[in-house]
Formats: sequence, C-alpha cells, structure tokens
Amino acid sequence: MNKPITLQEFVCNSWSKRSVRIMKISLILCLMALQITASNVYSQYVNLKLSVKNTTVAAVISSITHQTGYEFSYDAELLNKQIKNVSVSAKNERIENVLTELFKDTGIGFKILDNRVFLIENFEKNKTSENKTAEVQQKQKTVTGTILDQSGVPVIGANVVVKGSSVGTITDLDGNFTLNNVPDGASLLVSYIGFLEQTILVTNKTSFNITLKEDTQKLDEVVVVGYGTQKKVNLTGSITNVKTDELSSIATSNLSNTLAGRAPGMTITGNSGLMGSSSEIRMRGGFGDPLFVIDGVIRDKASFDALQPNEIDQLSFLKDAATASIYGSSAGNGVVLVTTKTGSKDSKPVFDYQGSYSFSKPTKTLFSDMFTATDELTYQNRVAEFQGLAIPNGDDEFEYFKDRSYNVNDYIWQNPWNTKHSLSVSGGNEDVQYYVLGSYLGEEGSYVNLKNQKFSLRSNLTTKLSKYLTMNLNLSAYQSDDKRFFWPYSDDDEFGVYDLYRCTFNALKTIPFYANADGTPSTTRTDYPIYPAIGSWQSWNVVDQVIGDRYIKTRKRNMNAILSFNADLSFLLPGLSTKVLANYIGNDYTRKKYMTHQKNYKFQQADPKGNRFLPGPIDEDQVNIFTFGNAYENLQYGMNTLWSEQFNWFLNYNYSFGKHDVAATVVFEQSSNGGEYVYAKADNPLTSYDQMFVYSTDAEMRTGDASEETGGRLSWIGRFNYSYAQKYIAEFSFRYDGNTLFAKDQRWGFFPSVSAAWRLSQEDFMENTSDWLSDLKIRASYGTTGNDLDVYGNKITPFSYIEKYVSGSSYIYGDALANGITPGDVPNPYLTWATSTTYNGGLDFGFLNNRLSGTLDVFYRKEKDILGTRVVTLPSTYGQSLAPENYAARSWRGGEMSLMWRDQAANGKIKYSLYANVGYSKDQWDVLDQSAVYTTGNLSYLSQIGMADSRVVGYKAVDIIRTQEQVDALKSSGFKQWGRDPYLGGILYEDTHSDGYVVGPDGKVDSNDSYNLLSDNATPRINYGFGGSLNFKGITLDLHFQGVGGYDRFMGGPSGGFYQYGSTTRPYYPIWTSDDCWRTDNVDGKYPRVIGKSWYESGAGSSTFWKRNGAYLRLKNVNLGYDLPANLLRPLGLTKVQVFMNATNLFSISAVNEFMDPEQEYYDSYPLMKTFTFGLNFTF
Amino acid sequence: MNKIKYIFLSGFAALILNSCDSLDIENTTSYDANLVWNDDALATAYVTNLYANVFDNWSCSADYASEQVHGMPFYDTSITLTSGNFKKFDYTTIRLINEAIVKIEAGGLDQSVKDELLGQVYFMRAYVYSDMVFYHGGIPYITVPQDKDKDDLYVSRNSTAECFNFLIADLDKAISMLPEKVSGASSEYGRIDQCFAKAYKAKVLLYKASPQFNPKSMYTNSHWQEAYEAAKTAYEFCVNKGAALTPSYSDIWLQEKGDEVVFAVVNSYPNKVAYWDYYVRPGSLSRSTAQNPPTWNLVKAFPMLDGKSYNDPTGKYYVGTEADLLQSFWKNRDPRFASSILYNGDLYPVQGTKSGYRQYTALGIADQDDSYGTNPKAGVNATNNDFNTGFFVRKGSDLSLSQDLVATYSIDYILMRFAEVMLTYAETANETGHQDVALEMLKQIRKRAGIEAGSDNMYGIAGTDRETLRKAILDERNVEFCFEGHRFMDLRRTRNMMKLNGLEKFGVEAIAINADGTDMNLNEAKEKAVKFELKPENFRYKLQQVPLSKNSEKQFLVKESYYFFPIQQSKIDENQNLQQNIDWGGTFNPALE
Repeated sequence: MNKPITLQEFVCNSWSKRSVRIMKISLILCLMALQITASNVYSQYVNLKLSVKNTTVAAVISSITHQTGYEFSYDAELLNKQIKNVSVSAKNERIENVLTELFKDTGIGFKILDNRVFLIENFEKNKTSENKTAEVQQKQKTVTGTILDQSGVPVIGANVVVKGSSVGTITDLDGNFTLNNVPDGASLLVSYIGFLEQTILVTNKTSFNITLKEDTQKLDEVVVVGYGTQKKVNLTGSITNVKTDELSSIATSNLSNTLAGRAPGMTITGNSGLMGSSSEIRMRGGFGDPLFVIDGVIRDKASFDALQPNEIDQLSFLKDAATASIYGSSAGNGVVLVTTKTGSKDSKPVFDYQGSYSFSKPTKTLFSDMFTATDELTYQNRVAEFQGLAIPNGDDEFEYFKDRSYNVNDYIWQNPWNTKHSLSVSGGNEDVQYYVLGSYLGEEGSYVNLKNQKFSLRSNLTTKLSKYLTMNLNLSAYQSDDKRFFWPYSDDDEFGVYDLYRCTFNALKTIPFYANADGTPSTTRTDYPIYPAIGSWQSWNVVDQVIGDRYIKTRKRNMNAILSFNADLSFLLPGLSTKVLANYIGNDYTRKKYMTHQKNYKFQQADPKGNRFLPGPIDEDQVNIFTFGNAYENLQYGMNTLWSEQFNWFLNYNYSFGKHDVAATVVFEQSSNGGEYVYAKADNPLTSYDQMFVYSTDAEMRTGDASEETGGRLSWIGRFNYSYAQKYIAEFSFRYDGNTLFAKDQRWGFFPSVSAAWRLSQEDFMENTSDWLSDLKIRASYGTTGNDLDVYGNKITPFSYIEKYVSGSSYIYGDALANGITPGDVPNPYLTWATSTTYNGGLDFGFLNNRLSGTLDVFYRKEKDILGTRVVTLPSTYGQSLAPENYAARSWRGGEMSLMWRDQAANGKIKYSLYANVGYSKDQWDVLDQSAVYTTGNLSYLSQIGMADSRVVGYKAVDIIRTQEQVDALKSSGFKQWGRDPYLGGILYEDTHSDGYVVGPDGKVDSNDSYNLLSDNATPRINYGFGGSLNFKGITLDLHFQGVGGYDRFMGGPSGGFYQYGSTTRPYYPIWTSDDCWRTDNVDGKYPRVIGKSWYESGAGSSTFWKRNGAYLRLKNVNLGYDLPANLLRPLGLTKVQVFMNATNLFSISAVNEFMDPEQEYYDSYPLMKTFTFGLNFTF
Repeated sequence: MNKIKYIFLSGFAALILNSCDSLDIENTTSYDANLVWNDDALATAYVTNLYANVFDNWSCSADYASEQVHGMPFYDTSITLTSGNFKKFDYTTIRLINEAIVKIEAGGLDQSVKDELLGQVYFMRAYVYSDMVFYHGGIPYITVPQDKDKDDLYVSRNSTAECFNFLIADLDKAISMLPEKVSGASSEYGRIDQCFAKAYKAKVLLYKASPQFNPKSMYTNSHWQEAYEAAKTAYEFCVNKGAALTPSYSDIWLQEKGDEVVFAVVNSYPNKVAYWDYYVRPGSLSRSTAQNPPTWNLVKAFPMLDGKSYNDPTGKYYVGTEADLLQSFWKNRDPRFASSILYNGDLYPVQGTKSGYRQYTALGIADQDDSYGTNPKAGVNATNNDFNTGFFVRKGSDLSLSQDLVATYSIDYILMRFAEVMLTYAETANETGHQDVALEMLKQIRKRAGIEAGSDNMYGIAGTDRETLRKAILDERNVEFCFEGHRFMDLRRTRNMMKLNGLEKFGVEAIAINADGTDMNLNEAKEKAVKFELKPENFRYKLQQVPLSKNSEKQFLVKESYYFFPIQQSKIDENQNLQQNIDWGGTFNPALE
C-alpha cells in the first residue's frame, strides 16, 4: 500500500446531508479520543475468517480489507505493531464486534465510519513509540502543525502523510499533529473528507498552520441514474444535474417553465403565456418529448409539470445512450429523472413554509393596445386610395374618434396573478424518516374567466421494519381545477389560443361592444351586445365570448403510490440486497363544457348619409345568433379514467475488495395500463342552466361515446459497474424490452451500452499539476436506445402489424344512418423500433482547487430503422401508401459545455458563483424517401438527405417597388406576379424558377418560385444559459440569462408572412397601422403598402422579406433574497426566514423584437408574460 | 426472517402471475380482418364507406369555373404541370373499390348478397374513373388491387377508347346486378339502382360522342348513335319506373325523394348536414359571407317568360339592350330566375325575419355583410366588392331555417335528376336525326319551368333544325342546371370552352331612387328599407366588374390545352411509363381520333 489512507467517500444522498455527517464525524472523533468504545450507527454485518499467529497489524488489516471491503485510517507506525494470536471466525457479525475481538489485547482502539475504520493507539503507548523513533531517525525532522478549516475550526482526524512514504498521522482534538521522521524537502499531503487535498513542502519550517479548503466539487455528490444512484465522480455517461433549489422561488404552475437555460443541450421553449401553459423540452435536438421518470416510475410530462420545485431532491437529464439506454425502447429522446425528497435520519421535525404572490404582464404591448379607432379609419382610407375608390372617412369620422376607441382589452384583459403556498415537514430518526408536503396554487389568468386552482400532497415515509428490511411508501396526489371561457376553435388543452387572441386584437375599434337601448355605447355589459358587421366574416361579440356564461371546466386528478421494500441480504452474501417496488397511478380528468349561443344586435347607424359611426337606437329585430358551430345550445362532459401499475424487482450487489469496486444491478420490470374515455352531450335546453336535466331528452339530442385503451411493458434491465482504485471506471448496462406495439416475434429488443472513464487527475504522474488541476476525468460511452416513433415523431399506432378494419365514413340510406368500415393503415408485420446509437465523449474537469469546474461533451447520434412511408418507390396508381417500413435514418452531431466558477471573497463574507453552459446540436437525414422531384427532379438541391429536418424555404424578395419608373419598366417587360401587374408599394420577388420547378426565370413569379433554400437552421441549433449568484450577509442575488443561436426564421402569422386579413375594414395586424408602411408620401417605407388584399406582393407568404435572425438573449430570471439574521430568529424559534423577490423574462435582445417576443411562434401568437414574484420562506 | 420470506414469496408470486400477459393486450379499436368478407353487415359497411368516399354533397363552388358565379379561376398560371389544380387521379378510392370487388367475390357471402354489393361497387368504379377520363382522357384503368410484389406497378395509360370500353363494361356489369329501382319509400333509398346506372351510362356515352373527344368529327362521329340508344333506353326505363319531372321547379329539392330524383345523396340532421344555405345565403342571415354570388352574366342568360331572350325582338316581353334589361331584370323572366336567384328588393321570407322581409344589397341600406357597390353617398365602400355581385343563390335554399340553425341544412343533394336524363336524350337525339324527340324534351322542361307555351306552342324555342336545337339545349342546360356544377363541363364537352376566354364578370349595384328617378336621400331610403317599403323598382342599377379591386385578375384566361388537363408532373416523375397529353408536352392523344 503506497498510501496508507485511501479516500473512500461516503455514500449519501445529498450534499446537505453530507455536511451533517461531517459534523457527526467530528463529534464522534471527540468521543473516541476520550473513550474508545465500539458503537457505530452505520455498522454493517460482515463475514470474516482470520486465523494467524505472530503477525503485524498491517497484515491483519490488509486481510480484513480484502474480505470485508472496509478501509482503514491509522497512524503509520501502527502497521508494524506485532499481534500475537488472531483467530476470528465470524459470520454475519457486526464489524465492531469482530474488531473488538481482534484488537482486545493490543491497546488499539478503533472507530468505524461507514466503510472506514480509524485505528488509534493508547496515548501513552503513542508517546513511547515517538521517543523510540526519534532516536532511530535523528537525521529527520519532526514537523508539527495545526489544521483548521476556512472558518478557523480545528479539523479533527485529518490525515497527514509524507508523500511517497508510509509515514503519517491524524490530527487530534485541537487539529494538531506531530509527525516525526520527516526527511528534508519532503512533501506533506494533508487530506480530509469534504476538503481539498493540500500538499505542503517541508523546508526549514517545522511548524505549519494549514487551512483546508472545502471541496466545492463535492466529490461524494451522488446523482440519480436509471434504476439507482451513482457517485458523481464515478459517472461515465453524460448526465446534467439541475439544482432545484434555484427554481423554487420562480412562481409558475408548470415545472418545465423554470428550466430554460439551466442545462446544456436542452432546448426548452415556452411559447405561450396563457395560464397553465407549459414548455416544450427537447434534448440534444431531439424531435420528441424525453421520457420522464419520477421516483423510478415512468410518467408523463403532465406529471412532471405538476411537481413542485421544492419537493424535488434531484433532477437529472440523461443525455447519452450510456445513461439512457437502461430505459430501452422509450428513451430515444433522452430521459428526465426526478427523485423526490425524503426525510432525514436524525432530525427533529423541520417545518418549511414558502408563500408567494406573483403577477404578470405581457412582454410586449398587446396588439389590441397598439392601435386605435383613428388608425382604423386611416387604414380604410389607405385601402380606398389604393383601390381608387372614394375615401370613406373624413373630418366627421376623425373628429368623432378623436378621443374614442373601443378596445376589447378594457373588458376582458387583466394582468394574471397567482399565489402559492406550500408547507412541508420532514424529519426522522434511525427507524423512521418522513417528508410531507402540501401545497396550493391559485391563479387567475390574463382574461377574465380564466381560473385555476391546484392542490398537491406528497408523503414520503421510510421505516425500518427489521434489521434487514426497510419499507418506503411514497404517496403523491394532486388535483387541479381549471376554468376557461368556451372556445371551440382550438384544442381545449391548447395554450396558444391563437385564434382567440387574434379575435381580440382584430375586433373593430370603431363599433362599440355593448350599447344601451337608445344605441349609445356602454363601457359595461348591457343587454345589447353588438356584433361588428365586418363584411367578410361571420361575426360575433368577442367580449361576450370571454366574459359570457359559457365555460370549459377541467378537473384533473392524479394519485400515485409507490411502495417498496428493501432487504439487506448481506447475510447471504456481503453487499447483496434486493428490493421490490410496486406502483399504482390513478389518473382521471373530467371536462365539462357549457355552451350557450350569443345573441347580438346590429349596430344601427343614426345617419346613413353622415358619420356612419354615430349610433342609432337598437332594432330588437336585427339580431345575429352566433352558435359557435353548434345548432343547439349544449352541455358536454368528457371523462378519462386511466390507471397504470408497475412492478419492479431489483437485485443489487455492491462489493469492494482492495482497490476494486464492483456493483451490479438486475431489475425486472413489468407494467400495465388501461383506461376508459367516456363522452356525453345533450342539446337544446329548456332554459340556460349548466346541468343535464334541463336538456332535451330526445334521443337525437343526446350523444354518447366511449373507448378503451390498454397497454403493457415487460423488461429486464441490468447494469454492471467496475472501478479500480477510483481511477478506472467501466460500466455495462442493458435493457431487454418487450413492447406491445410490435408483433409477437418482433416484440423484444436488446439495448446495450458500455462506457468507461479515466480519472486522470488521480494518477501519480499528474501530481505535478495538482496545484492547478484539481480534477480531470475523461469519459467515453457507446450505447443504443430504441424509439417507437415514426418519421414525423408520432408514436406508432398500436396493432400496426396486423391487417384490420376501422370505422370509416357513414352514409344515409332511407332515413337511417349506416356505419361504414374501411381498411386500417396498411399493416407491416415486421414493424420494429427505430434504433438510436449514441457515441459520447466527455471531460469533467476542475481547476484551481475546483474553483473552476466544468464538463465538456461531444456526441454523435445515429438513428436508423425509423418508421416511415416509402414514397418514391411506387407510382400513385398503386392506390395506397405502402405500409410504413423501418427504413429511414437520421443523425445528430453536437456537444455541450458547462463551466462553473465558485469562490468566495472578503474572507468568506462574500460567496459567489458564475456559470455558463452551451449546447449545440444539428440533425440531418441520412436515409429518407422523398418524392421524385427532390431526388432526381428539379428540386434535388432541396433534398432532405444530408440536411436538417427543419429548414427555411421560401421566396426571395428583392425589395418594395418604390418608384413609378420601376413599375413601368416591369410592366413593359410583361412581368407578372401571380398573374398580377406589379404596383407601387408592393414587394417585388425574384423570378427564380419556371413551371415544373425548373431553375431559371420565366418572366413571371408564381408558386414555382417559392422553392429557395434560405437557411437550414429553422430551429435553434445553439442553446445557452449563463448567470451567477452572490451571497453577502444573508443577501442572495441570482441572475439567469438564457438564449438561443444558430437560428433563422420567418416572421409572420401561421400562414406565412403578414396577411392583410382585415380586407378593407380592419388593419387586423398592427403592422398595417405602422408609419413604416410604404405610402406615396413615404416611399422609403419599411413594410409593404396597405391595399386591403392578402397578396404575396402585399406581404403574405414566406419570403426573405420577413426572414430574420431568430437568435435571442434574455434575462430569464432574477432572484433577490434576504435571510434574516439568525440571532433575531432564535428567540422566535425560527431557523431560517427568507424574503425574496423574483422576476422572469425582464428583457430580451433579438432581431425578432421588431415584431414580437422572440419565443413567440407567430406574430399573432398569444403573448409571453414577464412575471414578478414576492415571497416568504421560513423554516422552524 | 419469516417476514422477509413472506414478502419475497408474495413478490415472486406477483411476478410469476403477471409476467405472462402484460404484453398480451387486446385490440380494442378495430375489426378483425378475417371477419369482414364473410359477414353481411361488415361487407355492407365496407360498401357504405365507399358511398361516402365516392359521392359528393352540395358544393357552393360547383360552378366556380364558369360564368355563373363570381370567381376568377383561370389566369396565366392557374393550370400547370406541377400544381394539383384541375387534376383528378383518385387511385386511393379505386383501390378500395377493387379491393371490394376481389374480396367480395372470394369471400363467403351468399351469392345474392355478393351480387347486390358488386353491382354497387362496379358502378362506383365506373363513376370514379369516368371523372378522371373526362378530365385527362385515357388513364390507367386498373381493375385489381395491385400486389406490389407481383404486379407491374409501372402501368401505362389505357387509350381513351379503351377507357370508355372499360367504363361501359363496368356499367353493364353493374346494371346486370343492381335492383331496377330503389323507391323513395324504401329504407334503401339512396343506393344505386339500374335507373341511375343506365342514366349514367348514357351520360358517359354522351361524353364519348361529344366534340371534346372528337375534335375532327364533332357531330359526325358514330358514337352519337351509341349514345342515343343508351339515352333512349335510360329515358324509357326511368319513365317506366315512375320517373317524372317535379311539377314545380322550386320544389325539386324541397320535396325530397320526389319523382325527379334519379340519384340523391341523403342528408338528415343531425347525422349528415350540408352547408348549402350556410354558404349561399346573404351574410346577415347566415354565419358566413355568401360564397357563390351569381353574376349578371347568368342573370342575362335567363330567357323571358315567353322563353325568348330579352334582346329577341320577336319576344312578347322584348326588353331591348342589356342596359334596358339592367333596369328591369326581374320583370317577366323565366320563373326559374326568381326561384334560382335572390336579388335586391326581393321578398325573402327566412324563418325569424319580420314578415314582409325583403333582401337588400344596396350600399348604405343593406346590412354591411350583404351590401355591394361604391355609391359615394353612403360615405363608405362595401367591404366585399371583390366578392359580392348584388345577387345571391336562392336555389335549394331552406328558408324554414332561422339564422342560428343555418348549419342544420339537410335537404338531400340530387346528384342526377330526371331533367338531366331528358336533356341527354334530347342532345343525343338531336345529333342522330331525331329532332322531334329533342324538341319534345325541351318543351317538357320549359313547360315545367313555367314558360309560356306561346301561340306556336314552341315555348320560345327558335327553331327545329339541328344547330338551333343544339344551341337551345346547351342554353337550356345553363339555366335549368345553374349552380348544379354542369356549366363548365358542358362548355368544355361541346368545345365551347374558348368562349370563356377573356370572360369578364359583372355584378349589379342598386342605388335607391325617388319616383322621379333622382337618387333618394339615404336616410329616407334606410327608413323605408327597415319597413321593407323599397321594391326592386325603387332602385336604379349599375354594373360593376367583379372583382373590383385594382390589380386583381379580371379576365378568364382559358387555353385550348384545357380541353384535356395534364397529368400532374409528380405522377409522371413516379412512373415514366405515364405519357403526358399532347398539348402539355407529351405524346398521349387523349381524344378518340
């Protein structure tokens, strides 16, 4: 043994717990010094057979280490001590009993902490041996010293050894040590768990005051990995861990909204600020949701979103196949792992309360607030001017609307707010640990009639049933009640509500929303809602739409129970344990929709000849019933009751001998799920009331529907881990997965992975660098995962492998409806997974005593056998699409880097950290069928092969046509755009293609000309985040910036470009009221001319005219907290009180800001919000 | 230790009990394929789905490509090789049909059931292919569901002549298996019967004989005789089975399951509705802007009450010039005008409106959703001048539906009515020397329309020679079948399509006038309009081009090459064996000669 002391880190679950243990070590060492007794909280049962005579302590402990895995710390001299008779034969005996027996007549005492045994001789004997060695080794020095931590507290039990020798000692109660026989010029290595190692050069000085620095790298940090945990230092794959304590002060109803920019390689986009909206999570440029695993159980994204940040203990993103392949066929898009908090072993009840209030405002001015009635009048005049018609609005109209404008937001908008309260209690003792959290969230959304309430509860209880058996019950439940206005034109669970938002800002500003009987406009609701006659579209009253009595109510409930038993089987084989886990999830939602018609009155013009906006008395007969597409008023219920269960059996084995650490885990997993969907609707009520009994009982007026689903999974999972001397680490894992989506003989897939790491910094030859390089690890991994998604990222439909018939269209004969059936999708009996293979290489490093630390990863991922429809191979006269086949392939390349600088200043009074992370990823299709025109035809330059899936393709715009000369020249050449003559103020496009997509001009611009590749970065390729935190005298400040780069996009609405949807009446989009539009008196205008037509020339369509760099940087989050001083709190019985303020989305920098918030999908998407939160946190 | 054992035993027991079947799940969403072709109900349901795929319902865009309603579908690049515009290549439905034919024959159903179903399916195959042939000329006439591993999928186009032979063969096979007549009282009403199959066979042969397919022997080719015989058979068979014209033109649709129906797609609220009224009504009485406002071009085309044109000086109701007609277009017209077209000041008794309700379109008077024109006195231009015409479709409207129930429209869609059988008979008879038959058919149609017989009992028909009758039949089809989707195909079939080239469409703006002819004060006009006191004669009328906007396409640009639309380039890219039509750069001759 070169080094008498090896670092064997503690296995524990969190950093916070670890510090408790360090205190405990100190405490115990104190006790030990006074009275060496055998007792240990962590002692284990061991098997030991030892029978020797006349040997040394060294030999004995070497043998024990070999057999039991226990490591020893000792004073080097002890090793040569002779022991006469040793004879132990222990089976399943406590280690302390064995050692007591062993050392009973030797004067050697011991103390056990986890896997380590501290040996110490009697003080008297120590002294004599000191004298003795002093005599023998006179040429050598005696060195003394004191070891303190940064706050000046003595470090007890720290190891001090002479490098390269077996000479060493440990510090006493006051942190003092004395070391004899130290050669001149030797180096002392000072180490202690949780602190950075220090090397001291012994020169003339013989007395040292050494301050050990806390190891911020937290070498013993444990992270959750699939089906287990692992020490961070031992990781071989690419995992990013997110600190959830930084998230808990952000008030949002969905966890995913807090994560943007927190982890490299993750794209997290929230494109709506509507109450309840969530963010999309994509890992390394993937196309689908990652797999969510909460407390070892596969869950859906909704369950992940429902988690409270403060109930989470660990949150990890498994990014490469080495870490994710253990989830096999569902892990193709990465895995998000969450473990929730548990109680602690030695703690009184700790109560923690957090309460907050937050309110939000749109990040950009709401469209409806961006223009007024006067703008509308101007718009109408401009349209008429272009059309060459009489100018409709004159002085009368402008005068009338001088200080008048009917704004829909005055009736329906409110700044959203929410309030959140959570109370948790945790604690426990040796036998029972508990953590219970209850929380409540109340929200009101941005429109009147948007309300949400959510209650959630978690109870995590661990009990030791016997000395071998532990039981854990983790219960969680939540209910959310959501109410929103009735809106049938987008999905009920959709948060973009683009159509509704559009309706709000394009509502006429010149016609009142409500009137009195005499026609005078009213600012409040009256019996006479007015419908705007906009001439080109079915019209309704938008205000009533939102504040009327119609509603959609959704109640979601979720109950999850995980029961597990963990048995220590070390009596059978040391290091063996087993666990069974059973999980049940009950999940339901009930949606109720109450729909009433709108009865709106026509706006009456008092004077048809004069100012047409002057209101006249309401005509009771001129009404327009708006039905929302439902002939009768109705009431609908939709219900889902879903369940799933999962059973796991684990067999774990952990064993260490010498420098070898071996771990193995084998898991069997089985799950089933099912549920029913039921729907009921009734039409035509006797009176407006939201209960079924008032509705017609005529069978034709009542509708019902139901369906069922079932599913199941079966898997075998294994992981084998080996490490040598904590330097060389290798891991193999697999998952053998059965999937019901595939035919019986195609059902099973095997997904292996291997990975390895080399902790270079632990090597002897790296010692020279240890003053600046604290940690360096090289990682490499290879692994496969499966993906049951098709080329469009949709989940494969069940039973796609057999021929079947499904419901088709119905038809009426006579008076009766007959059901139709039609062949289901063409079956493919050979259906299988897409298999994704990832190669990952990485570096973990720490510099300057780990003040600067970070990771670097590069990856290449190839997915093959993606299910897709073969398109090129068959003519369409074949009459059906081919059965989708597993043929397509695509690949991704990318990497991530994260850096962290953590330090303190002003003697530890200021603690600060800075971090930055960045991820890059780009995909490309390697094999994909495309229609002939893209392979051999004229558009072969747009072939997807070798290119990213999302690209920017569109027209090339030259500029706005600004002068009559230009128009004349174009006209005289016969140049037409979509068959129309060019006009002043319209966009001129480049004539790039002829009919049949032939490259080259043909004297006209039409749809052939839209096939230009403008950029292949249609989704952000770079995601980054950076920020820092500062702590000074209880004040903490966190700043978090986030952004994307490598991103080109079109601005505009969902149909591409900016349509002049409003025709001759309404500007529709505020861009058309902008002073920057081209006019005869503004020939340099930035935007096209207002003409009241949605033509390509007037702005519609995706072209370079609207292409912008989509990159942005935003201050995502600022958090300011203040911890009240402890001396104020102590008399009140409080441990901690913090007040905090938090702001999100304060500002952004982007070219896209010209029109909208950079995260918004469309110009007219529902806006994003900036949120301000004030909160209070106390612990007692 | 006992406890541990217990827990582990139960754990393993659970494992063993469950592990066998968690992957063995039940398919809860589809039919077992093995059942379908041996089960009457399922096989019939398969055919039912075909009905829904094959037969259309009411469509407000049926005549978009003609002069009848607003719209500018033909411009320079409206039909190209690449776009899907004016292409028909529905092999998905063909495959479903072929699948049915093969599987029914192979399946274990009773022979009677097999025949019943096969008759319908053979008809549908001909029906779907015929549309493709009318569009493009000969197409690959595939009659089996191809096996991609065994069959040569790189098929060539069958010649147009072959295609017509296949069509007739399929129709004959269908006729041999179909019931003679499915009556309106039958619970099977809506299914294909021999009446329809024979009438459709006559229609297919009419196309075959028509100038479109015979540009060099337009009216001299021998196919006319074949067509005449089929048309005669169809006519006589239908009459024999009780087919007749509905006595009143406006009742044809409203009285469902009437004698005039040869084939109808049944609608019934709430199971199947059509959006006809939703799209044809004026915006203020529906929930959508009117999608197909009729043009002045069509209004002009209606004869006067005596069956003669407004500018025919021999007419009893002779008007004179177009400008004269403009100020009196609603007076003394063929009654089909008033039952087909809604005009300014017309009575329009929609459920829920006040009694005496008149529909207005005059700017400043009418609801903004309905108004049309640029009358400067209104101080505003109508919103929809590019779209509206001052007229709305009235044909087929169900005025008993109030504005809120407009989307419950469920009147049956008549896909073929007896009047068409008669006019097919008339046309083929006229071209085969049976002018007497042609004249008789025309007279019956005009008589039912309410046109005066006249002293010569000619119902305004100008002559009995072949050319006069040929024109009379084409004109008759224009008004009799307006908005029913025939016009563009009729012009094309008879090689009159180029008459549409350069076509401009017009609408009619109404401006209220006083008795002395001066423009009425709008306030006064408005007051009167609210009381429905303004009648059509209280307005002067003004033509406006549709669309009105500057820079809009305003003229049809129709090319000779449109007599046969091209096969979409992407289909040829997929299969080099498909030849393109001659006029589109290929070598395939889509005509019969």
